[in-house]
Amino acid sequence: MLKIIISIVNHLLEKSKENLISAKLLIDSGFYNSSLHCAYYSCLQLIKYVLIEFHDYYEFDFDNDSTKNKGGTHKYIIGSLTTAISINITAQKANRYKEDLNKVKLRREEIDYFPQKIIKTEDEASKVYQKCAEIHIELIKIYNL
Amino acid sequence: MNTQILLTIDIIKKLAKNFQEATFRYIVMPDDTNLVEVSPITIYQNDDFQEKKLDMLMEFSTQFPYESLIFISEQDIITLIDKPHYIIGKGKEEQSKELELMLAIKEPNYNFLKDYKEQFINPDKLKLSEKKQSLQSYRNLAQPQATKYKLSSVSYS
Repeated sequence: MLKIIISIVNHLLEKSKENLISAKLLIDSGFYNSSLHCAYYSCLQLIKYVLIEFHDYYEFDFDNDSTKNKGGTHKYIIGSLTTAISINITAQKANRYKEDLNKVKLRREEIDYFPQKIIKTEDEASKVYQKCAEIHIELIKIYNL
Repeated sequence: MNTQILLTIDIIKKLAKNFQEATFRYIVMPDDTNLVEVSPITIYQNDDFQEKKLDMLMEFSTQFPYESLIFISEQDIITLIDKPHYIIGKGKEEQSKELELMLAIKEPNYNFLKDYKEQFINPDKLKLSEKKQSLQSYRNLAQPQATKYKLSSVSYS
């Protein structure tokens, strides 16, 4: 059982890194909408990794039918991180990351579900990437990843 | 849901009092995200505003850790709000009929927009009996201007 958990957690970290690298490569290739998707999920995967590895969360806490995330899995993951990292950084900074992530979340939903919404410029895609990369850097610092 | 909206409006009012040259346009998104557009951008970018904003985000987060409140500006990554539910700024204050309806429903965790979408956009998802009951409660609240509300909400979805 322990082996399985370790394996899931490691996969999350690897997938997260891969998605962030992909986000940058996609911007460089002009695929801005797909880049946002990768950047956002890279953050979610990293946060899940951190919560499971360092904060006693379990994979099933993030299942759709878990009683803990009634308001939605993504909201639950983002909210849990804010509470978790408030110990390591100021609550103000934690809430700024929460706001940034929620903005990317909302933009991701627009892009994925509404055909008329698209990212038109490299500048816009880079802004999203930058926000996600900042969150990665902060978590790498806090958890010594 | 109700208390989230009331807290957000309270937060916006506090900010409007502190930044009297700013206009705040608020909308409750279908996933319950509370989205507030701040203009002009000079105020949004101002350090005092950013500091005050973070205090307000903390206040919101303390009460609703798993919900989201977002402030955006005209240069943000989020699309600007077309039809706000609430506007305050420069001595003006307006509230939409949709917001009045949302606030009129007192059940905890009731999501007006989600319910609305299920009824009118994905009606097959609901069983007929549930649908009838749900529609009746909506009609009781929304009459006599139900058609008008329907049209304005559908435009986002």
